[in-house]
Amino acid sequence: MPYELPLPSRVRAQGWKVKIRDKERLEPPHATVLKRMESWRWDLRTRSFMDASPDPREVPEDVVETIMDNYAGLCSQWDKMYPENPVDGEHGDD
Amino acid sequence: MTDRLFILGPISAKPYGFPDSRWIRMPGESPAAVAEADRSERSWMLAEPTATLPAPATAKSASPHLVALEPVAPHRLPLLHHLFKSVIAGAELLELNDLLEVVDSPKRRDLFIGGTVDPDDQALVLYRGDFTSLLVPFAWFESRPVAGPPDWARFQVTDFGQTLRMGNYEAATDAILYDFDPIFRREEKMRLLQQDDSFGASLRRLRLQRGLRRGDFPPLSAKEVARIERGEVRKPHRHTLLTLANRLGVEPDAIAEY
Repeated sequence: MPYELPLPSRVRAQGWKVKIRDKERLEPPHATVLKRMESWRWDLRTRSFMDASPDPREVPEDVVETIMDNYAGLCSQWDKMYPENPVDGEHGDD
Repeated sequence: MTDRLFILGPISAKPYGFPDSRWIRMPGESPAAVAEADRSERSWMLAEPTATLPAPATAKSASPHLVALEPVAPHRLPLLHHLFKSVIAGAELLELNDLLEVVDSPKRRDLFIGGTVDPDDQALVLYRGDFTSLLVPFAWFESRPVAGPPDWARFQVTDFGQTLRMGNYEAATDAILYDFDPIFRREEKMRLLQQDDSFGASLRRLRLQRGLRRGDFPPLSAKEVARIERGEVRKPHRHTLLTLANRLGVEPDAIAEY
């Protein structure tokens, strides 16, 4: 079952979502920010966006703050879904 | 959008937006309007699944792609395959407006618009926004600790083609493309290399920019240059740096700026 982080209603209404899906690419543990046809991966080990493109500055502050506020919960969800690749597993070696 | 699209579905479907597209609804349009749309570079047609389809004036390679929103009688499929460049029928599709946005997007090749589940052959045929298809075996979607196995009877494409949902199980489109499309994988690798700010990555970018091969740095061997680019040489020797810089036409310290 995917995990979807509850977001403030304003950004949710704009179509923003933050998800951890059951089958993600084999990468460092991450949550995916989605809006329409774009997505941004947020690294749970470095607590930062993984990719330069699309530009992370396009993600509203409300979304980033909600991710930061719920960081521990996101890590715990990831660890439940991907016990073979826990957040505390290999710090930044991927 | 580079290709024209012919949609078989309820004629009452009213896609919004797309102001620069010409919509033709059949039945209802005059034969002249249909013929005109067939010649146009950007026209999307919508016809009832039972509508009599006109033979296109253009060659098959220039004919529209067909997407059927509703089931099509099996006896009509050979004709549709004959008339259209590609045919997507009997598939679970994105909602129509989302589908149109995807096929109209520059990213359409990296997004799915639908899929067909084949339980007999244990395979999933996925359709991309550029109307090409990809075959993925069920076995790739292994059971996950929280979601369990995918429920194929509840297959859906969602998140504007970025996610596949099978009941409680969700899979990321880019995970599928990364494993099954070598072109996507190559592009992703290139993108990662572009983002890599290590000395080796800078050297590689600058070398490629100069149109040089790894063997173009004598007396250094191609193997030696490859090791530096991969970051296997922590601190290249001063002479090595000078050789690289001379050939690249920059100061040794400037290589890392690329």
